[in-house]
Amino acid sequence: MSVLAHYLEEEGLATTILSLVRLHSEKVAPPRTLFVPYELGRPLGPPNNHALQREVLEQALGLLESNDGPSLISDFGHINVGAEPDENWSPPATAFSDLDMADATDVARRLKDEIETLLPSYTLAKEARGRSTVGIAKLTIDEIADHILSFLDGSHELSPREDLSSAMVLRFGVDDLKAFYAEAASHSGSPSSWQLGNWFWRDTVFGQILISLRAAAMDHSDKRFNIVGSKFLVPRIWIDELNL
Amino acid sequence: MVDVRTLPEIMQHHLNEVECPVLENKPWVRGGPLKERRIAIVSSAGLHLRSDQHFTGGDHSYRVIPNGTDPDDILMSHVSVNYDRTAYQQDINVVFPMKHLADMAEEGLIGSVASNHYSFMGATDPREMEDDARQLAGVLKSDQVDSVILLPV
Repeated sequence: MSVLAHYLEEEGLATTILSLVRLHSEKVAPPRTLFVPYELGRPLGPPNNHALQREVLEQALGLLESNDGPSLISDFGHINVGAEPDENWSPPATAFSDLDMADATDVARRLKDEIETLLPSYTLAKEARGRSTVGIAKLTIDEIADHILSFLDGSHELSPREDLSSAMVLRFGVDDLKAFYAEAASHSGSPSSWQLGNWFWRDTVFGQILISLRAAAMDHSDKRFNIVGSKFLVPRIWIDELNL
Repeated sequence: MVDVRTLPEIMQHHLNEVECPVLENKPWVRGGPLKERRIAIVSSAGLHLRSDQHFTGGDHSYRVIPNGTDPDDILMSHVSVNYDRTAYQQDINVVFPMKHLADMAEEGLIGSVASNHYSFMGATDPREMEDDARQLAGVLKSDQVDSVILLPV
């Protein structure tokens, strides 16, 4: 972002940036930066705290009126609101206990049951928010689940989309199904990203499938699956946390 | 995440290792008061319309998101899985505050909002985006935009 700001400013546009990594802003030194103390992925802070988001935005835009150039880094003063857990949040029930990844038929049944269990919360969340972020794979949730499960029985070379490889559909399908789970699970309460991650990676059938799939894809003879397995299934932070 | 030192070691290492270009020139554009500015959002979150082409690794182009687009019509296809998406999944304003910008214009705090906003995909080396960024500057100026807020993810 800092480099893009530099290019735009050189072309005559005034720019201001929100920065999540102060170190990078200090190195590149773009014209105007507001450093915010939030997690990567949420530059305006926690979801649904519109007053705080407005404050962030107003402070960042306010730097446009400053004359303290040519490189200004300001710090947003608030503490890291939104990272704390919601003690009243209850994770959705899952079918994870005693899961045997070697029993593909049982794993498939449990994933379908888990999706079925989450569907009402997903539907209510979508209605309440007026949106869903599911849709990159351009497949239904059932079609995505079937494609992911095809890796368990060896039929995964077939892509359900004519315009995308099986590996790319896996990547986008996983993103979509993760979004389905997160949207459903966050329908009630305000769980932190850590609470949602703990639930997803430790307690869901889908999370366990992705952990197994990562290992299998990284050993696959097709490089495309190696890439998807190593980069797109499990976040670095959870690879570390779960000692994968 | 107050600073990189508070992150798990694996993420600290990753962020510390990111190469940052050294830019010799120090451009600084002066402008009028905020209440007279016309403002666009440029995101690096890999956002695009549902109907638009998804981002792929190394993609240096940008996507156009018309101001006022229904949030349900906006998707994210950033190639990195190493940042929190759960906030965006609950509330698009954490990465793309189109609503807040509209409210600020309505309240007279900014002059106006651009006709369109734009998104790159931030995992690409930003130096590879230079041509697209400079071309985008022309597009923005043709819409009378004079100021841009850039939002990472």
